Amino acid sequence: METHSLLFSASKMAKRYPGTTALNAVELEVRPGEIVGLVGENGAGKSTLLKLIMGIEQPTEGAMAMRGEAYAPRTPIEANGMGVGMVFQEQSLIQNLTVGQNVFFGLEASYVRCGFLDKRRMYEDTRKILGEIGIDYIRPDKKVSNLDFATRQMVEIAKVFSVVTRRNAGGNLILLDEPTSVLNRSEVDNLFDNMRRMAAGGNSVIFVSHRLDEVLDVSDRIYVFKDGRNAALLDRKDANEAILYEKMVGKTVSGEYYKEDRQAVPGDEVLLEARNLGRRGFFGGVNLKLRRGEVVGVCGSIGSGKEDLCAVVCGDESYTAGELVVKGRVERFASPRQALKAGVLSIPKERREEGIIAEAPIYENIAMSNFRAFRRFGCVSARLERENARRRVDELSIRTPGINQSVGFLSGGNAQKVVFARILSSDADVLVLNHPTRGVDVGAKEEIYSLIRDITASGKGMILLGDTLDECIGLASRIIVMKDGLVTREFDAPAGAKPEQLEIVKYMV
Amino acid sequence: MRKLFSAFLLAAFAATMLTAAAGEKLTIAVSIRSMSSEYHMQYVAGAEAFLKTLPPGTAEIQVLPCESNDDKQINDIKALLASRGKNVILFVDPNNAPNVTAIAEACEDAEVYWVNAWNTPEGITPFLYEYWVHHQSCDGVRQGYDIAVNLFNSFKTPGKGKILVMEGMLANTANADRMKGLRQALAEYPGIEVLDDQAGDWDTKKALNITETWLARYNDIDGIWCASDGMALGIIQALKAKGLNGKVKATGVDGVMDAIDAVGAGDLVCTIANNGWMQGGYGVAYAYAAYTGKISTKTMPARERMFYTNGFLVNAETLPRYRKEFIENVPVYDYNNLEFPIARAMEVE
Amino acid sequence: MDKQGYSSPIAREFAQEMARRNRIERIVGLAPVAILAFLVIVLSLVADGFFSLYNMQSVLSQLSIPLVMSMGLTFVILLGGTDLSGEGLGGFVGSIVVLMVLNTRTNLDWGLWAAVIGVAAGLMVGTISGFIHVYGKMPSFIVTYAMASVMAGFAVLSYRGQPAMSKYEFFITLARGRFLGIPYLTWTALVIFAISYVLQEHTRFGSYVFAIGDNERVAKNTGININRIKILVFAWSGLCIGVAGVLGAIRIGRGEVVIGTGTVFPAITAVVVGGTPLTGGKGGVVHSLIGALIVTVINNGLILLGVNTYYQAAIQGIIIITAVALSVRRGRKVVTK
Repeated sequence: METHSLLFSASKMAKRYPGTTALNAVELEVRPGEIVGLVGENGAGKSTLLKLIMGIEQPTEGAMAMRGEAYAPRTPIEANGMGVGMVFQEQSLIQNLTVGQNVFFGLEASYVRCGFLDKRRMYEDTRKILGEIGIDYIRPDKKVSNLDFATRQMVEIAKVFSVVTRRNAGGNLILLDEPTSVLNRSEVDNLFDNMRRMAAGGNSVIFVSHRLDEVLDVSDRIYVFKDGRNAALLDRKDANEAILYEKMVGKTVSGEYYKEDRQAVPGDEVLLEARNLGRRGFFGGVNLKLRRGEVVGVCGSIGSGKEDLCAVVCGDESYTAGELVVKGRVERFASPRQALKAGVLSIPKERREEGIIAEAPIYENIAMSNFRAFRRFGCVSARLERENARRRVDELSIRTPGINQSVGFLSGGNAQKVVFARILSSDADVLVLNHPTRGVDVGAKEEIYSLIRDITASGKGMILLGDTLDECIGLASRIIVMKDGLVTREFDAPAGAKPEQLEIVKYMV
Repeated sequence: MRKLFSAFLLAAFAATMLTAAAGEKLTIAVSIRSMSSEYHMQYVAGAEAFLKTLPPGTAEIQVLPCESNDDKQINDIKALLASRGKNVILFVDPNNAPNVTAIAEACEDAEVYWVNAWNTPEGITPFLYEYWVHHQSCDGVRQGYDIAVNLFNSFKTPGKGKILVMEGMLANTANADRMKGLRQALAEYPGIEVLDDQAGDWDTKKALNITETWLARYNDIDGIWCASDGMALGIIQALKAKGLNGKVKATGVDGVMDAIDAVGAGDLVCTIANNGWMQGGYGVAYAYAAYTGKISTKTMPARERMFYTNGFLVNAETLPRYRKEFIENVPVYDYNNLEFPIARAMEVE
Repeated sequence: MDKQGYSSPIAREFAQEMARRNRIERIVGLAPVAILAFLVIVLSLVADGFFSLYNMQSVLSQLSIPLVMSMGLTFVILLGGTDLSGEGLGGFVGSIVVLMVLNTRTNLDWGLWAAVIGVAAGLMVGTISGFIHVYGKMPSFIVTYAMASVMAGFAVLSYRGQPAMSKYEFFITLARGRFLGIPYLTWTALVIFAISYVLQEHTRFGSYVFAIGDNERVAKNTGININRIKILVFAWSGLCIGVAGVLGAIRIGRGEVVIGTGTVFPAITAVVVGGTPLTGGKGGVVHSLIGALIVTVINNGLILLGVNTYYQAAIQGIIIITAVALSVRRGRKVVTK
């Protein structure tokens, strides 16, 4: 294939963070007027690639080209200027401005006369743009806050479309990141019509979705990513859901890696039970039992409700249906603090923001969830705190110059170990672990798996949101699979008889 | 005004230098809030009038403005005591009541006679100290009473009419005293009906807003009893807007220049000017008498150690005299008659 | 897939939930108008003298200063900030303006130029606050609070403890005169309102203020000079405070620092009660006009009813807390700036 017949190409793209590689030697080509689907598990590198294309982050290696010319944007604005735009998962519309003001947001200059905005002309042009993508039923002078969610999504697309098509009528690239997760079928159809219309106008679209049927429906070609690499490139006519699954999940890592031999056999005592638990609009009808020594893995795509379930269990959000029982008592947590009192400790995903206090020394971070244990004469005793911290640092072999070190200076893996030291020092019985190995290097990962085994062996129960499906299967003794807010299947995963990834993925998508 | 300050500062500075050389001269210190306050400068003028009665060259005056800063007031006084030793007498208008204790202790240690005006914390009195000669204050109850009586008698039918009451801040001592005086007057004048009572928080703007609203509701008001000149000026603005100034009678307290002009214009029935000349002059006269041994804090009658002074009631009748005695000239007093400034003794609870 | 084409009942619930929130939002958005109407009707029935021409005029003239102050504050609060400088800055502007027109203290007689200089001083101080806030990376409430003290100090210094009375005839006319039954001061305030409305609706500035308050990251990614907008907002607020200071001086006819004291809280109350939450991003100057009317009518009504001033202060406090509580009701994770 000749280079100039490509609209966009990326070659040998790599993005490495300290300790991890998010993207490695990835190739991507987009032809003019083409819709390219991009699928892969969580953590396969789709979002990272989009960020590199938009200039939100810079690649460690590799080169990109747009219309045959070198392309290396440093900011989204630069990317826009070169005809590349992205519709983000979370919308970026300004709620209290009108549709027209949003579509031309930041580009009002040509509508300014003597310092005043010529809104009439702006709205006329808005109507044209809305017409181009077939949504001229939306009134340009309506405030975005008065539109429903799907319509906002359309406006968002119109906005991005208007930004990238300012310079060139055709030959632009639009990235759509999970645009359908909150749309209903007819809205999705409408969106696809728009995508096809854009493509017919010579523009190209990269479409990221976890819904394989939709990807198969609208894409011309489909890239499958796995573990930060290209796993497959298929023409639509050669692809079906089964093939895509297979390419996405690949082979399972050995049980040894996950210390399967040390997987505890669950006890009888139920620590936590969800009975028909639901949060209106997010998930519903979840039944779940967590026993002593058990790791329950929750699998699902973005928008499946697993994060929301997790938030309800650890007291970040309240539930609206069913009940949550912890150690035999019905609980309704108003805050994570209350959950901790009842014995539920959560380790959040955004460790830097929520899991540790970067400025505080290691010993305080370790004592944080259980100051009561370090009290003497009513005050927190720094001596007891330090003694405990010294012991934990040795036990967990945290690499640090000393326990007075601020956690902010530790590497990702060591910081995560401090978090685990905190878990070990608390007397909580139920742990909610949200992506415990995200941003942690391979060596530290293994140590963390070993710690998880230690912790469950001591009789605690754990709800796990794995970083990858593989990890979830490897660590969990039971797995529940969620999709669109509902539990679609439950699997037993005893040591030596783990379910296949492929089997689970079927219920996820 | 500015020239006066600089000349004054220069004089004070020069005098300090001279006395430092002479060593024997008496320093009459006046500790006040600010040299930009007219009322506070009246203290200084009073002290100067007293100074003229002394043999020339035996004493000089030093002003200690604290610029509304508690610490500065205490530190300046302590510095003065340290440099001048016992050759000091002191008149203090404390920036805040709690300052009094610190000043009293410092003067007691330095064996320096001093007097205090206006504020003192509850229970802290001259009787606890040897060198604290007296505490004086203006008689707020009397002020409230006097303006009320003047107001009531200015009505078409004297002693009969409907009034509105503009208080200052509810939690404020001066306001409480003035209100007490009003209540005494009301008890004596059964023909006066109080239509409403609002707190204007000593704020001109707020008094203006309240009066505007009052005027919407009541159309047969004879007068407005108002607890301060600042608020009275707001009331006058509201009355003027409706052409009612002079028809609806109003009062003030404090003797602010603009209020005195308003009395002259007929917009205000009366105000009471606090007599800073008398307070300052007699204040230092008392301290001087104790310093020279003419009086002794051990034998003085209690009424001379804690008393109220009278202000000057300015109304249409007394205005020419006030102008002549207080604005065009500095008032002259007989400082040998130490009884003169005492309006009544202060009760000690 | 169900009838409406949702992939699952949860997705339908989500759509319903969003729609419900939208509905509630719209109803809450109309609440201030309803409250104002309710207040006017009730007070007309129970408060003697409320529904009279003269009282309506005094409500309007009392409205002028809070309205002008709230016009500047609306933009600041839309950004998610606060401007407390009005306390001192308003007093300063009022003081110097009286010193510059024909007055009892100085020999100056600059007429209307004094008002222009006063407003310019407000604009300048506002701009300085904005600069310090943006480039000093200090919270706006700290900067403007400090600025209030500084300016209150300058105000007292300007007249050295002895405030001047204005003798400027034109000011006296302005303070008392009316056009079409509405006081001149209120007309001035309405002009400021009209300018604010145009700024908000018909300039880029207005859109960007909403954008920064709603989602600063998006605004930044679009390439908007956020710092410049923020400084402009504080400059505008300073200008409004300057106008309020001049109006205050005209109203009480005397240049002293109390012109500013106690003006900020009612103005903030007006903005928040009108429906601009302290977190910014929504609301606007029309809301603030309604809010200012509510605040003024309540104060007026309480005095007419003979309610003690201290209850009035308490009532005002309760109103603002209720309004704030309503505006953050659903946001458990509220960001405060």
